[in-house]
Amino acid sequence: MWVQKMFQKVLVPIDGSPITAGLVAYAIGFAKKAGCSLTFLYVVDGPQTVPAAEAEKQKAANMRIPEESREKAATEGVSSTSRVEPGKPAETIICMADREKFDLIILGSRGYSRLKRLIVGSVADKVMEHAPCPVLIFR
Amino acid sequence: MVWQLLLDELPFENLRSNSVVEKILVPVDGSKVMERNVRFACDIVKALGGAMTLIHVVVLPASMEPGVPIDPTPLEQAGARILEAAQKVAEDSGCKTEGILETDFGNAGHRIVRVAQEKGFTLIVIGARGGSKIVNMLLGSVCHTVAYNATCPVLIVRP
Repeated sequence: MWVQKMFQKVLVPIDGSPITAGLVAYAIGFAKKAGCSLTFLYVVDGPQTVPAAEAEKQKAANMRIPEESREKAATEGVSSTSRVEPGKPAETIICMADREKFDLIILGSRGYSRLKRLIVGSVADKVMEHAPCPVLIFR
Repeated sequence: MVWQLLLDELPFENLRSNSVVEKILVPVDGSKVMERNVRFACDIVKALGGAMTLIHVVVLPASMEPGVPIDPTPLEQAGARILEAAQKVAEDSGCKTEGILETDFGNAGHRIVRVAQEKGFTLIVIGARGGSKIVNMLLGSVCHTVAYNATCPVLIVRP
């Protein structure tokens, strides 16, 4: 039945902030019910030109964030992959969802105040306005 | 302390993940894309389980003349028809739904958020925009209000 396969590939961008634990738990619960696979994406923003020795260390450190989530999903019996991509978070998330045809993006929102949102904007804002697929905002 | 240890042992996260989708609120507006949004929400209910409630908020315009109130009856009747149409679509897709009709001034989003909070909904499924094609990329004002102010998770559906 196609209904069962409504969501197959779900993208879960995470950033290691306090909301991540809750978001990952929610996404795992969602995946259990929907029978979908999860992709935990950590986008590394910032300069990518660092000494080679440093780069290796940093890469390992960056990988740990989505990898922890993947392990957590695995213990719950949910299939998932972990990815680390360099770039601007919002653009990277939107482009990846578009290119790899994700069915859903589950996003965490930190809930900035109106004023702060106006000044800094947020990744969640950009993703929900420009995403090519449905977006689930977790609170 | 002992209490602290006990609290740490409790599977709070598991409790939370079990209540992923239970009560789903679907705002409807009578626009062209409403039908598709309702069907999408029905598919979600079928795939994930849970009960679905449709809501339509009748927005009363501000009175043109001060002191002369607008008669809300015809607007409320139109709203009831929209809700009925949406419920029919849901029924055709094999979903039993409840309907809520509310009347308010201003942006319907705030009322939707309040109803969701008061009645303990665990998910709001809302269309990104009512109709206009030109600005399809952006969020409509009601969706925007709901997405930013809701206290529960919000699923934004794109046409």
